[in-house]
Order: sequence, then structure tokens, then C-alpha cells
Amino acid sequence: MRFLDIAIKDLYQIFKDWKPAIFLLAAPILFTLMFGFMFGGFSGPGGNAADDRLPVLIEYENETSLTESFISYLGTSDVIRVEKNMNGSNLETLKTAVDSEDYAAVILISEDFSQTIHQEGKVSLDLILDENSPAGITVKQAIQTAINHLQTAAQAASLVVKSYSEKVGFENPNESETLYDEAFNQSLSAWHNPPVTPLVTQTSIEGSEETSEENAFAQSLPGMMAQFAIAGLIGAAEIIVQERKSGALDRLSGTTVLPFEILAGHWLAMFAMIFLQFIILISFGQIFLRLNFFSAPWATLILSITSCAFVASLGLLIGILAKMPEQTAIYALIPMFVFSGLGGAWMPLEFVGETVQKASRFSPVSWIMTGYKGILLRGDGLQQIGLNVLILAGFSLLFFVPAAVIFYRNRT
Amino acid sequence: MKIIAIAIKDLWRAFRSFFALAFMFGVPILMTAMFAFLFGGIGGNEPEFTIPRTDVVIVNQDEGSLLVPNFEVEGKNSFSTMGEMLVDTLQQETFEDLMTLTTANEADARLAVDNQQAGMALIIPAEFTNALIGQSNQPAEIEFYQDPELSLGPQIIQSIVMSVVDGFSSGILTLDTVTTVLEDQGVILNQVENMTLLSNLTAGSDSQQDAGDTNLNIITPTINTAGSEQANPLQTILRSIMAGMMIFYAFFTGTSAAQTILQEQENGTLARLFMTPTPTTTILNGKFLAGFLMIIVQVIVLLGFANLVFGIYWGPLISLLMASIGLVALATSFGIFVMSLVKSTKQAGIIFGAVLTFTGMLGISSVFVMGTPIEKAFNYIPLLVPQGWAMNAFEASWNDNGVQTLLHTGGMLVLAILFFAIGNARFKKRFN
Repeated sequence: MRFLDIAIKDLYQIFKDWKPAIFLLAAPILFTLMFGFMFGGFSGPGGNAADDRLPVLIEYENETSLTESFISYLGTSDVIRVEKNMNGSNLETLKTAVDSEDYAAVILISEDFSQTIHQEGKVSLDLILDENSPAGITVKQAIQTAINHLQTAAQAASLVVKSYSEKVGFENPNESETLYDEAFNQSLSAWHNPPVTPLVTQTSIEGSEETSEENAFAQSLPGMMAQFAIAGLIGAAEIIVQERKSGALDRLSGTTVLPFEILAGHWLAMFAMIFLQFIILISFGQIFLRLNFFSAPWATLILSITSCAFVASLGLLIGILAKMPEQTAIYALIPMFVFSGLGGAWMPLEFVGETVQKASRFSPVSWIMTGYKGILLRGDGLQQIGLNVLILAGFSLLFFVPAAVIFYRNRT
Repeated sequence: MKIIAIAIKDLWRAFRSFFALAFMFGVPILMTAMFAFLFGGIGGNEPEFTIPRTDVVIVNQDEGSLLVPNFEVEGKNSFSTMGEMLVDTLQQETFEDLMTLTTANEADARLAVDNQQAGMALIIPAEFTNALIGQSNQPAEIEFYQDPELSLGPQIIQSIVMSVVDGFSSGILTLDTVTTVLEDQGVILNQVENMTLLSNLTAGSDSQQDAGDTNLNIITPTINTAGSEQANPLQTILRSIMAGMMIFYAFFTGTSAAQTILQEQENGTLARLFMTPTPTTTILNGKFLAGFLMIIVQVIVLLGFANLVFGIYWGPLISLLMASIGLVALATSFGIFVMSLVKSTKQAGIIFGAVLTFTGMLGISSVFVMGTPIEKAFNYIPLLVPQGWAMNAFEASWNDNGVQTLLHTGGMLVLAILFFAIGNARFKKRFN
């Protein structure tokens, strides 16, 4: 049980100063909140309903009943938030506004907009947006749908005027225009109650299907837990380097303590430190972010254990490879950036190309992420995350074995 | 001249160290190349952002309507239900890049989504046709059963499907509006007139759907004032990553350089230096100068390498010069500041691990969210830390925004003076 003494000594060294502990907890929480809120965490379960619709500026030249109807119809969109401006800016200024992302798009309504609708039943718009950005794609689809509705309304209004003209006849042109506007507005508002509506569902944690609710923290918390677990190795791995540099390791080797006990002790200390970090962060997520880790407690526990085992093994290798204390920083930061970036800790991997998605399989962080996201979003249990657990255990061995080999070789 | 001698000694020592060289140049370049490969798609011809293709399983439960047994489109294709027509529309080549379609029964489709073999199950309800021809009192619900881990792909598919369904719905909605408004005006259409109207509407809505996209004239927002390099997405991503890595590691170099004061103190060489006729201020200033020069070399090499090898355009020389001077001054003084707060090299490990990683990550966080919907939010958050000012200054430089570059460089210099004043005072107080 001497490896336990070594582990306790390491833990004492790690935690005797409160500053690293603060970092191990404060940094992932701060980054979790930051990324989570930015990805829409405010509108997640229990969050307040902040208006996170994409801002779209409507620039128009003259105000008619049709432009007003169109603008107010766009204003009811779930996707875009409309701001209007009359004859305010030139094209370059508006392009700059979209380029600098003040607006997701700018709709330019020309002077003959109403006349074209009225006479030809067609809607023609200039739209400033970036077609290659997610915001641009979303806004374009929303505006395209609104245009289709607008053209339908124009068609209905024309048919009403035509039918009325044939059957009854108008006494003056104003009467015709009033009827057109009435039919146009009624047709446009009919789209608020369409005959077919979408229902978005997903598998809920209980296994029943219910209306989809997104929780952006389900992406950000596991990502930051994994990233800062690796970053936390800088201090922990340094203990091994200091032990070797100070000669304490040589003295330890002169005792009856087995090399394996030394290795196991250091590994256990790092494991315990990271596991404690995981427990606190998971509890934080469960209590404050409404992430239901405890829906599958055994799956969460086993996944956490294998995740921490991988990070601890990586830390052991770093500690053994580093010759100087400051080298631990570089040796920890490289895998932190590589594994986190590749593993989807910063942003969902669906945003990147297929090559990256395939390459992400080589990052242990990717397996940590998919495991926790499966538990949180799909209610996965032990059976579903079995592969993640096995692969993370494999990564643990992948880092532990070379660490042990180098350690034994150096000792002999 | 003793200042220069001390600085040269430290520089000589730093540049002889393989570790220091790897830290200053190797890692930033390696990381940039790797991230460029991953996110820039080098070798894969992939843009930095791709619209994801979603595997969609369609479940067509539409039972059709006895009233309308057959639907014809352009006199060619004939469908017994509107559900079939929807499936046929989605199978067109136009949507090939966005979705891969298969069909299955409901249980299998849901299972495929649950097992992540498909991104979405599209379930067309039994009442679909009846709802679209006005034979149902309740709206029909078309279900999008999706993988909760995906967001953008299913969102796009939903938008496309509902756009097609809108086209189907327009006929009945228009007919309802026309008859209602006319009835309000005291005009009642007979059955023949109604059927003629519906027939006209169907033809009209088809042509409108086709024309819809051509009625949108898309204007790209890019204000290209800085040469052709800016329009290249790969250059854009490479530049951001390179700048981020350069800034991240420049601060490590500054701190590492200042750490030599603590190392020399612990080794006893600093005490020996203090016993010579050289004033303490000169010795410390020599060490500060070494850090300053090290970062100058690091920044010049990385900027030059990025330009020569990756062809990165950093902006007008004057803006680049301003941002670089700001970075060098800030990274050096920040290193002096943080090292003045610690007592030993053991504590310095915490600085590397905690303070620099945390502030560095926050400062260059705009790199991590590049091309995502949350990118804009990261214009200001990084300004909470010094690295964020440097990142914004370089971004302003390559965007040819001289005013912003000047503003952020000014901010960096103010912070640099502040950090240096505190750090310098603390070190001199400690050793005098």
C-alpha cells in the first residue's frame, strides 16, 4: 500500500496551494458558461427566453401598405429579428454592416416593390448576406419562405379582385385597391395557421419522445471538463519532474519501494485530482445547468473513471518525458490543443468537414465528448457508451505503457 | 553597455536551448500547420465551413384522400398521395448535397436515429393529403425526429421540407382566403368556379415556387480592400490560427524570460552578480531587455515564416508594425509582472499552468469559434485579458482597419506600462 502514501504525498503537494485548485474549477466553469451562453444556453431548459433571433435590417425607399405588411409579417418570424430603416444608408455601408456581423443580412426593398407585386404578383428583393455562413443560410431560407408566402398572398389578392370585378364590378379604382389590400393581408396572416405544421422531436432521457429542448451546456461542459483536465496536468506532472530533479526519486529508489509502486502512486494522485475535478464539475452541471448526468449514474461514473484514467496516464507520460519543470507546460499544452480542437471540445464537429470528423476518432476527447453527450442528450446507458469506455481505456494503456517503459529504462 | 552584455548572455542561453526554440517557434508553427490541415482542409479540398449532409429516413404514412385519388405534376408524374409527391420532390438532385434519403417504417426510422445511423427521421402523417386539400379540421403535424447531437443539418432539412410543404399548402390557403373575402363581400362562388380557381392556383403556385429563388438577388457583403488573399478562406483560417498561436506563445516566452531571474536567484548566480560593481537596476534591466529581444525575434520569425510559407497577408506594414510593437511590449511586461508576484520557480509552474493558459485561451478564443454562429460575441470578451488586446490589434491590422489597430495598440501599450511599472517596482524592491 506504499503507492497510496506516494499518492497522498502528491495530492498534498498539489492542494497545499489553493491557487491551482481554483484554476482547475474556475477555468472550466467560466469557459463552460461562456461557450454555453454563446451557443444559446440562455434559451435552454429553465433558461429565460432572451431574443436570440438573427438580426436583419430592412432598408426600404417608400412606405406602402404592402411593404408594411411584409415587414410586420417578417417580424413574426421565429428565426429573424427585424429592424427597419428608411433611406438611411448606402450599399457599401450596408455591406460593411453585414461583413462586420452587425446584421446577419440586409433586405433591400426597391421603390417599385409594391408596384411589381401588385401588377405582376412577383416579389423581387436584393439581399446582402454571406451564403456560406450558418447565419446566412438560415436567414436566406427564412426570407425565401416569406417571399413564397408573399407571392401566394399577392396571387390570392389578384384573384379576389378579378373575381369581384367579373361578378360585381368596382365603382372606382380605390375600391379595388382596398379589396386587394384586405385580401392580401388576410392571405398573409393565414400562413400563421397553415394546414401542415412541423413537430420537432428527439429521444428524451427517459426514452420517451417529446418536444425537442436544446441545452447548449451539454456541448460546452464535457468539452471544458476534458480540456482543463489536460491543462491541469501541468502542475501535477511537474511534481514528478521536481521529484527527479531534487533527487527524491533516487532516494526513493534506494528504499524497498518498487518502481511500479512509485508509478502507481503518481498515477493515482493525478487520477484522484482529475476525478475530484470531474465530480465537482458534473455536480455543478447537474445542479446549476440542468444537465442530467444522474439519469444514468453508472454510465456517468464509468465514463468519468475511464476519462480520468486516460488523462492521468497522459500526465504520467508527460511527467516522465519532461526534463525541466517548465517543459511540462509545453508537453501538456500540445495535447490539450490537439485533442480538444480535434475532439470537438470547442464547437460541435458537425460544423467541420468530413475529414476532420473522421480524424476526430483519433482524439480521446472526442470519445469523452460523445459519451457524455450521449448520456445527456439521448439518455444513453452503460451499453451505449461501452465502446467509448473501451476506447478510453485503450488510450489510458497507450499512454501508460510507454510511461512505464521509459521509467523502468531510466531507473535501470 | 552592461545591460546589453547581460541581455546577450540570456539570449545566448535561450537560443542554445532546444526546448526554448521549440517553445518559441516549433510549437506555434506545428500547431498552425496542424489546425490548418484539420479546419482548413489542406489536401482535402474542403472549405473551413461545410454545410453538413444529413442522413434522412423518410416514413411516409400518408393515406391519401378518396376525394382526389391522383395528383399529377406537369402532366408527367402521377402520385396517389401528396406524401409521395413530397418524397419525390426531396429526391431531386438539388438536395443531393444536403441530404441522403432512405425510406423505412416508423419503428426502424426512429431506431436508426436513436442508434445514430441517421441524423433525422421525417415522418409524414396519415392525414397529410387530407390536410392539404382542406379535408381535415386539424392541421397535420409532420414530424422531424432528430439526433439531439446535431443542430445545423436537421435545421436546414426542416427548412427545406417546410418550404416544399408550404408550396403544397399555398393552394388551399389561397382558396380559403379568396372564398372568405369574396363571401364577406357578398360574392359566393359555385363549385365549378371553385374547382377552376383551385386548378389555377396549383399551376400558379408551382411557377411561383420555381421563380422564388431567382427573385432573390444575393449580394456578398465582403469588403475586399486588402488584396486577393482576404477572399481565400484557407488564408483566413491560417492567419487567425497563426496569430493566435503566436500571441499565446509570445506571452509564454515573456514569462519564461522573466523566470530566469528567479532561476538565477535560486542558483545563487544572481547574488554573485549583485556583488559585482554592477547596479541592481542594470542587472534587472538587462534581463528585461533579453525578454524583450527574444519576443521581437519570435514575432519577426513567426510573421515572416507565415508570410513566406503560408502566404499569409498580415495587413499594411505600418499597422502590422504597431500591433507587433504592442505585442512585444505587452508580452514582456506581463511576464515581468506575473513573475514579480511569485517567490520561487516552483510557484512559477502555477503561473504557466493556470494564469497563462487561462488568459491565453480567453484571449485567443475568437480563433476557436471562427465561422460559427457565436463568432461575433467573441469580439469583446477576450479584451478582459491582455492577449485579447493583441489578438484584436492583429485582426484590425489584416482587416486594414488602421483606427482599430491604433486603438488596440494604444490599449496594449497602456497595459504594458502598467504591468512593467508594477513588476519593475516589485523586483527592484525585492533585490534592493
